[in-house]
Amino acid sequence: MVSILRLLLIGSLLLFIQVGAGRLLDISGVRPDLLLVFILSITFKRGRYFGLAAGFLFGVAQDLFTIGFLGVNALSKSTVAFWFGTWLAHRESAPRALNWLVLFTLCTFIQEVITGFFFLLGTDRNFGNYLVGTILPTAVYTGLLGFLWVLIPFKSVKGGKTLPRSKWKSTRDI
Amino acid sequence: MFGVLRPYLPWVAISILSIALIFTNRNPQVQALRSDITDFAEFAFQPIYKLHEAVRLWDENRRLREIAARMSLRSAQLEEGLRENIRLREMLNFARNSPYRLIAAEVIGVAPDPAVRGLLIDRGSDDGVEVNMAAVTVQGGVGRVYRVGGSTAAVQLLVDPHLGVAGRLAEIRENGIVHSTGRGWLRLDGVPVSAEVAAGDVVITSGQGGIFPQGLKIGTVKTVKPADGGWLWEITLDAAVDFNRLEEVFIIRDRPPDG
Repeated sequence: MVSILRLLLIGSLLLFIQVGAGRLLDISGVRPDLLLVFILSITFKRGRYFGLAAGFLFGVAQDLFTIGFLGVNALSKSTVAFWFGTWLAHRESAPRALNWLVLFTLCTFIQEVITGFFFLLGTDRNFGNYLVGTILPTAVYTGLLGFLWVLIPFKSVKGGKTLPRSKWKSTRDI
Repeated sequence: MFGVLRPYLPWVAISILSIALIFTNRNPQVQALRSDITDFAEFAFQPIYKLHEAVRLWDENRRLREIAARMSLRSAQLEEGLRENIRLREMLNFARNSPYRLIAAEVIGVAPDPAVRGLLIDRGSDDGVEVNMAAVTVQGGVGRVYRVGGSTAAVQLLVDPHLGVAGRLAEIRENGIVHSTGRGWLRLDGVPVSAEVAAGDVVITSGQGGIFPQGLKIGTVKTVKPADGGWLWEITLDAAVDFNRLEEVFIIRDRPPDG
């Protein structure tokens, strides 16, 4: 219970930073998705169902506080978290440190594509331009921040050490 | 079959719920709720927005101050350039209309002799300058060349106490000698009290000294009073040239005939 409350608190803080102070992290209009990094780390620690729930919950919260369609971030974040967790569940060892950079970038890319699909619905904006101008820079930026995030708290991922499943995801997951 | 799909059912359920939420966006109640939440968020995030704005304004202020300083310097340079342009145009016009051949020279310093009040110019014998040539400006007579080097020359100014210039009151054609008072003023000596002199009368060169051509303006009469003895006037002049602000002069290459 305490750990869930702690996760809610951290998530709320990141939501506050993402929505309120996100412009301070802007680089030429590109903003990282801190919430997604948090949700993926929850998925890694607690399994895909936990990640699914966290993705939906924080996705709805993000949609409520920002412009855009309610439900879009909930769909994209929960989907990415679930399938990321599914992929992890079939691995015997935690990904190596540098692989997290690729994983975060890829997950952010997929999440941004889903979000961008709904964002561009009904508009005449070119998806290719949106892909190059927004999706790719956001994915790279978030990937870099996520990589730094992983290096600090998740000491177990350094060097790609092989860990028992119980150490890094829920045993009820499979 | 169901066993294979069972792990994915939670994701399917959440996805359906999310898509259902997307379809509720047009619902007025949902829109009202989101509007209230975003209003609250705007209110709650005001301090962060203001902090960010303050940082941005500070940075912009610093940048604009730098631009203002550069523009101010640039403006001063342009004004100086404009003044120089006007001055040089006057000189060019003077040179074109002058009946004499002139050598344009720039004042580069003070004459090295401590006993002489003079200027150093950037023209010398290589440019045709000779001793006892007259130096003039658009405003009037400046002095005479008293020392010449290869590329520089020294000019003794009219305000030097050791220099006397043959002058003439332009209106009444009365001759005299112009000397410096030693305090930066000029005086016209040798004019009898029978001459009708008044403040404001113009004094020009008479051409009789052998240095200055006739007709160059020296100054205007400032004060007139009888000198000691009562035979002559004691006349002080306001110089036509501001000797403290000379930047360019002309050297008159041709000398007037004596007489």
